[in-house]
Amino acid sequence: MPRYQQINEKLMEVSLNGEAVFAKKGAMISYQGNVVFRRSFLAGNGVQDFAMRVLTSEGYALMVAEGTGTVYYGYNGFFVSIIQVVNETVFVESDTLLAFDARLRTGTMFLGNQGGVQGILRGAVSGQGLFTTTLQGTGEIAILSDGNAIGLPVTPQQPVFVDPDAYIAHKGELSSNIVTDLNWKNLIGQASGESYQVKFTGQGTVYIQASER
Amino acid sequence: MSNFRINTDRLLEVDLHNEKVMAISGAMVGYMGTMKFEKSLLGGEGLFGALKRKVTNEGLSLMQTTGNGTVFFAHNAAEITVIPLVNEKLFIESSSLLAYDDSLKTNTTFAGLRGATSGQGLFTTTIEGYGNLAVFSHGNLITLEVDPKYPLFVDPDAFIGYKGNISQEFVFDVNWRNMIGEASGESYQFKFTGQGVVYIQPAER
Repeated sequence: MPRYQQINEKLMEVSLNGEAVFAKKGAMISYQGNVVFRRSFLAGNGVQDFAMRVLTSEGYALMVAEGTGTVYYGYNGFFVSIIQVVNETVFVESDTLLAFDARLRTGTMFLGNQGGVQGILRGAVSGQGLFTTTLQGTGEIAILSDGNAIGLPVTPQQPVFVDPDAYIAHKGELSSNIVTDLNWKNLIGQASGESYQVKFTGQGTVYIQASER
Repeated sequence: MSNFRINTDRLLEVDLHNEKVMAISGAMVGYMGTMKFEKSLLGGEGLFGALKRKVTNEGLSLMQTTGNGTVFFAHNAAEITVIPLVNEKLFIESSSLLAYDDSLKTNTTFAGLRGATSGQGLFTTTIEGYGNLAVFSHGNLITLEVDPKYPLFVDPDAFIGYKGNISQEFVFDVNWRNMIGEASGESYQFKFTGQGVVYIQPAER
């Protein structure tokens, strides 16, 4: 089982014992041991998934590291966070995904499937596109963020509202919809800059970064 | 007074119980509870205060947040520091201000001619009263003590703000090398004398 470990805020390592780990292309900083790197086209998911990624432009350039040893990953000075996934689904933007392995099943999801018209709207207003990457199962993933990533717990009693520009990922049984906060000042061009938010309800965690795209 | 907390250096958490907090427009990244965000048209300074900001270019685009719950603010992954004010007056560059308690009063004052060369403008923002404010900085905010015996010199590009009984001057360190184009890169500084603290960041604008 590949072992993920945080070294500092911006660097992580993955220990491999004959397994393979997928990571963002170019994110390897150094390695020890007997590890080979290849460009991965199918990311372990077959031709159909690949075709889907090309069509939806939720495509990520991945490389696979395979062997026995330790690989160090970091990317452009971004912050790295490791998320534990326990028999659940993580939704993440493909360009924030740093590393994952075959323990999790990846897929591409149409935001409309998740939140209906609201989901489509969310993708459109936040500029994140209409599709998102999903990873399902039990294991770990590593994500990138501009500034620390912070996980906000969502419970049925406590919905969480986030700025679409600061949203990076979420996991669990959550549904999202757009809420607007408009008043007469918007009509005279004096918007607060926070006129719409994404509301998450259910049970799970929402990850935001300390920066807005 | 609302409770300001820092979460992992770059995120500010503010607990509100039907209180009001001011923050720069667009800095909210998330919230729990019920919150309302509104552009603050006059920034709590009245018509004259707003007019003065327009004229002096010490502009602050603010929004007011009211409600019940916890609101999270962040800006460009910059480091955030909370400075509590206890009936004091803080001088700060408006571009470093992230959020402040509604109980604090802001104003614009003439900062002297120093602004002309440092590119920070001739005016600066003052904030006074009793409450919390949050500033952001590129790198961790550094607090330097100023004592009547030891004046402090600061690079204008790293300067963020100061509080206390301090007077500020602009000093030049120019010699014959500057004339032949071999400047040290530190030809002018702010000099602070008196008793108080000066805030700087470990980066230069």
